[in-house]
Order: sequence, then C-alpha cells, then structure tokens
Amino acid sequence: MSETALDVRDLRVAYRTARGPLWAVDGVDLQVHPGESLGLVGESGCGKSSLGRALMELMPPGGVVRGSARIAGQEVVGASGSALRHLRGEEVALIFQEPMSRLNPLMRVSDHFVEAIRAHRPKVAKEKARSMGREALAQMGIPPTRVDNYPHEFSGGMRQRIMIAMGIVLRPRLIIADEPTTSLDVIVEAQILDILDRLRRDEQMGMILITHNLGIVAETCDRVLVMYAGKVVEQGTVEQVFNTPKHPYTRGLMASTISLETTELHSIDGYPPDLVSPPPGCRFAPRCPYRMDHCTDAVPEYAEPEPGQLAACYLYPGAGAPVPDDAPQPGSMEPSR
Amino acid sequence: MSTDAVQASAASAGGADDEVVLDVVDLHMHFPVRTGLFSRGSQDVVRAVDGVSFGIRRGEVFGLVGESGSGKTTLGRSVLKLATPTSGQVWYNDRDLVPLSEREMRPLRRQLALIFQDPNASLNPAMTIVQGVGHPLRIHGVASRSQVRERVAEMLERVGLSPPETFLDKYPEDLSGGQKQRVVIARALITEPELVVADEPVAALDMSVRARVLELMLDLQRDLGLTYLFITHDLATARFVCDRIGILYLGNLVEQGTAEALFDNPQHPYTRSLLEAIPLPDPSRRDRDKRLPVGEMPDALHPPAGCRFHPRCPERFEPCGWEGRDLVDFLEQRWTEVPPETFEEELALTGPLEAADVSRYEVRFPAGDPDGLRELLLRLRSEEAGVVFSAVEAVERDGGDVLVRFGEGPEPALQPVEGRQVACHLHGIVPRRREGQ
Repeated sequence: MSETALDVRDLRVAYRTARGPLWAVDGVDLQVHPGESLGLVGESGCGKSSLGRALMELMPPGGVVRGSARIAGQEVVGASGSALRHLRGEEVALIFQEPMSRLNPLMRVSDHFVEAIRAHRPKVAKEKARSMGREALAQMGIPPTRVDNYPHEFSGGMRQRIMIAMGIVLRPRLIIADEPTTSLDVIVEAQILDILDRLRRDEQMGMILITHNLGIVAETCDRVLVMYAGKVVEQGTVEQVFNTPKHPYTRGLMASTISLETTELHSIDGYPPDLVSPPPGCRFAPRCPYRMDHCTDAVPEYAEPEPGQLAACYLYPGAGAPVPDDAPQPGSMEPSR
Repeated sequence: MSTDAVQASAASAGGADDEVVLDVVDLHMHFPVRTGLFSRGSQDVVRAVDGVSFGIRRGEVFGLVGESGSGKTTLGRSVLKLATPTSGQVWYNDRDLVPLSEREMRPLRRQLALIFQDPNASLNPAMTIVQGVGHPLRIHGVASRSQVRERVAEMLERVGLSPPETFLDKYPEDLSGGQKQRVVIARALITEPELVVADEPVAALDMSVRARVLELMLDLQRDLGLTYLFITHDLATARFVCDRIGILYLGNLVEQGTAEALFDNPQHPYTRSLLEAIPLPDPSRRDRDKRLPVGEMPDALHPPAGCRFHPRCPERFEPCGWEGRDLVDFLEQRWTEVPPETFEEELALTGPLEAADVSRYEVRFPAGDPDGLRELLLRLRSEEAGVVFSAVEAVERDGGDVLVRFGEGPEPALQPVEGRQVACHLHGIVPRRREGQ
C-alpha cells in the first residue's frame, strides 16, 4: 500500500475550563489511505470537530494537543507556523461548514486563487494562477464568467464549491471536511457530496469526513469511526458498522436515526457525560442497556468481533475482561425507547 | 381549567374529525425591498409566500416541508399573524384572522402557540424555568403567582421534566438541549392552546434525543387534543410525524396530500428530487440512481417564469416557462464543460453576458459579429444542446443585435392527480390564474 495520507496516533485534545482540563479527544488512532474516505461520526460534544481542528492545529485559545498526527509523513502536532502553512493547500484541503467565513468579502474570487496559489508557488505567474483557478472552478460547476465576482455574489452552495475548488487547486493528498454540508439544503448537499466523491475517485485524494449525519457516511465513506465522549468506540467498514453494529452506542445511534423507513422511534436514555470528570470505565456505561457490573471498572480495550471491525466493549472477547455466560447478546434486545 | 378539563373538551371534539380548525386561503406575504443604486428608489417585492391554500383538520398534524428560502417559516408566522399577510385569508374556527387588530388577536393568542427551532434563542436566560414557562399565564392574567407555580410544575411533569421541583428554579443554561426544548414545549402548551405551530422543533437537537422530543409532541397531541402545523426541511421526520403534507417551493405549494401518497408515490419532480437526495443510512443503496436538480433555489425577488422549479427540474420540457434568463444560465453552464478555447470563442461572439438585454420573452445580444452569433445559437438549437431551446421561437438579426425570442409557458395550477394536488405540466397543462392577470 502507498504512503498513508493521514496517520494519527494517540491524539489527545484538551481545553482549559474553570473546573480543570476537559479532554475533548482522549486518545484516538486513525489512518486514511490515498483514495479512501473515512467517516468520523458522533453527536455534538463527542470530540469529532475538536479532532478535525487539531489535525490542522487550528485550535482556539486554551486548547492543547498531544500525540501525533502525520499528513503525508509530516508531523502536524507542534509544527511551526510556516510548516503548517506549507501543509495547508499543498498537502491538505480544509473544508468547513460555513464557507463565507473563510472567504475575504473584499477580494474577487479569482484573486483568492492568485493569492493562495502564489503563496505556495511564488514562481507561478498571475495569469497562470488565474487560469488554474478558472479550471478548478469550472470543475466545480462555477461558470468561467463568474470568476471575477465577489464572494457575496454567490449562493451558499456556490461558495462551498468555491472553497472546495480553492482547497484542491494544488492537488493535495488529503481533504479534511468538517460538516461540509450541514448548512446546506438536501439537494445541494447531495451535489456537494457528489463532487467530493468524484475528487476522491478521480484524483485519489484521501478524505476524512466529519459529520453527525449517518446517511452521509453510509453513502460516501469506505470506513467509519464512531466517537463517543472523546473516544472512538467502534470502527470498521461502512458495511460492517451499518449492517452489524457491535457497540451498544452505535446500535443506539443507528436506532435513533430517523430515516424515510422509520416506523418506530427509538432514543438513547440519558445524556453524554461531563468530560471534565468522565465516568470510570466505559464512558457509555451509565446509558448502556447492556451494562454489566464490571463495565465501570476499567476502560475497555478494542475487541475485534469481526476481522477489521473494532469495538471497545466488554460484550466481546478481547476487551480486557472475560465475557460472562449470561452477558446480554446484542441483537437479542434493542436499546430502550 | 385543569389539564383534565382540556382532555375532556378534546374528547368531546374528538368525534368531529373532519372539522377544519385552520383554513388558509390564497395567502400572500410580500416584502417590499429597495434594490440597487440605479433603481431610482423603485420598490421590488420579495414574494416569500405567493398564494398558498391549505386546511388543517382538528387533531391532525399538517406538515409544511420546504428548503431554506421556500417561505415555510414566513408562512408559519403569518398564519399566527406574527407578520401581517399582504393578502388572503386565515380562517381559524370560522373567523378570519387577517383583518383582526392585535388587540382583537390577544384573546385568541392563548389558543395559538408557537414552538421555535432554537431553544437557546427562545428562552430568556435571565428567567428561571418557572418564570419563563409561567410567563404566558401572567401575560394573559389567568393565574395568580401561586397558581402559576402549580400549573408550571404540572406542565413540566407532562413534558417529562420530573420531578418538576428540581427544575422550577433552574435557569435555561443549567439544562441540556433536549431539556431546554421540553421547556419550550411546556411554555407553548401552558395556556392550553388548540393549534400549535412547530417550526423545526427538533432540528437543533442531537439524533439520540430527537426521537424523544418528537414522541413527546405526539403524546401531548393525543392527550391534549392538539392540532399541529409542523414546519420542517426534513422529509424523514415529516413522514413519521405528519398526516398530511404540503411541499413548498419558492412561496408556492407544488404538491399536497397525505404523507402516504407523497412518500410512496410522489408526483411532482421536486418532491421526487427531495426524496432521492436524502442520504440513506444504508451502504447497500449508495449507488442508487439519483436525479439531482441542478443549481439552487433562486431568489424569491425574481422567481422564474412559468413553473418556478423549471430551471432546475430533472423532468423539464417545452411548456415549463422558458425565458431569457434560462438562455444565459445555459451558456454559463455550457462554458464550465467545454474546453477553455471554445469558451473564449463563444464568449467573443456573445460579448459579456452582462451586456445582453434579458427579459421574459427575449434576449438581445449586442454582438460584434451578429451572423457568427446567430449561427452559433442556431447550431446549439439544432443540436438540442439544452431544453431551453425547445421554447425558442426565433433567433434573428435585428440591426447589429441578435434577438432570441421565447414563447409562452404558463404557470402550472394545482390539479388533482392520484389522490393529491400537484402543480406540474407533466400531468396536463392547467394554467394558474392569478389576480390581475
């Protein structure tokens, strides 16, 4: 296999709070290969967006990042400002929820491209940079007649296309997309996801897609990581995780998702824990319908109930404690309503 | 009146299932805007709601489904007279609310409640839960201070915040998102309303608590005999919650019928597109055929002629209302697909598109090489390059200009198709008549 586009080891992200540090991301490992799309799903507060920000060292004041994240072999954590600027654009494209906040309202779209391209490739002539921009925009469906317009003259979906065009104009190896379609309507969302999918296939870019929307992951990703309370609780191929979810949280999340086929409503009891003082052992235990006595003794390790599918849960052998004979069998009961 | 009494009155009304509680007739909500430096102060109007009619029966959940910019929120607000409609009628229990003054509305407000999307924005952070939820009772002067506390406690219990004593004196910031939305629901229902307008009531909530709040709303509906106008962009939620649904596009209903009819057998291309676009949490169906509309919902300031969905419609054809603007859009779209040299050549023929004079029935290109441009347009037409050309009646030279003329394309009226109402020419051309036309 070729070089990984993204290699994250034991990544931890903390914020200072009045009551002590809050570990929003608490020891995450993940890899993204070229041409692969990895989905990172979870609900608000699970740490998925903090992880995304940490990958590019775009932390708010008071944020701390520990561990390692390598993009195309280069370490991001603790990297200098100039090294990061090189990475952004050259090796990685960042796509966020609100594109307008990333575009300068006083600059024509074409000038954004000239600036971005020449920051990385000072030798590229202005005219050449302009035509590179025009080509990237056309690839995203923005007419060449509109490239000299200002950002406010475009709709929300068009702005997101512009952001993607800017992100990929230098052909980076990795796209980090954090809720890229959350502020868009469902039809425009589908258009944007189509574009991202095409880039991944045609250009062999690796992609990490951070979202709360399970449907988006099922439709666009190869593998998926499910996060809960700062930790990855389950991972596997989308087929494994969607067809036979193993972790009780994943099962609950799937069951509570309202889709066109929903005939019965389910939800997960309780609320996510306070991460300043997380519960002992498995962090999902207080809400878990399959909870056993020893679930709160120690943090479960990853069991591998199916080859390539990992679940941090004591219901499966390999999580760090013997599975009792009378352990509830997942699938024999659904999460409580 | 206790909640038991509400239940009793709801039960007595329960027999009259077909009774229409709210009847909205040809409602318009236009907002005047001042445009541009060069419009010399002339006023344009945003047609946020442009002639919408629907009725809601007692005890029913009626869904208004639309994307942002469809006018669904404006419609919900004008039904409650939080914005005064430009024209049309809103019959609530046989009384038209539109001409009523705010004073005349006030006694009715107890019976009409509103639940907003964002619980953080709808709760006053400086009020405790008992103050906030009890506020409507105080406004309407229907309960003393001690009664308020009792009634609020009762309502909190009902919305699943129990024991209520532990919540009464808390502030909104002490609660989670799901709990806050329960407080919002409690406040909306404390005056024992009859009709509740719920505008995206669960959109701001996490998936794992969404179901619980929806379930609560349905339980309360059953127990208190409520009638809901449920406004959402989320078709999956609408399918689960609503009895009947109206699909809104640019201020117009394009399809209206039972949830079952619309979801099992949608008849408007827009409804079909919305359903196909929803990402499904099922990897085995990821490669299914999706016929996505192009582009985005246009500005309600200048809605497209004919059918407002026609520029984006995957099933568009000749009578849909093709106009000058569509030709400009076609050229721009074409130029993203052809090689840069072709774009340069064609742009040299058309000249800058801003310089073209574009109207409903024609586009006038002040071309440098009128014969060359005419030839290009005729070639594109004969190649049937875009459906827009199907409505082109003539491409002619007019002095140094090239003039492209378009034919008629009426706006579709709602017509009955397979047990629901659809506004689409695919089912037969039924022109819509508007006032002043």
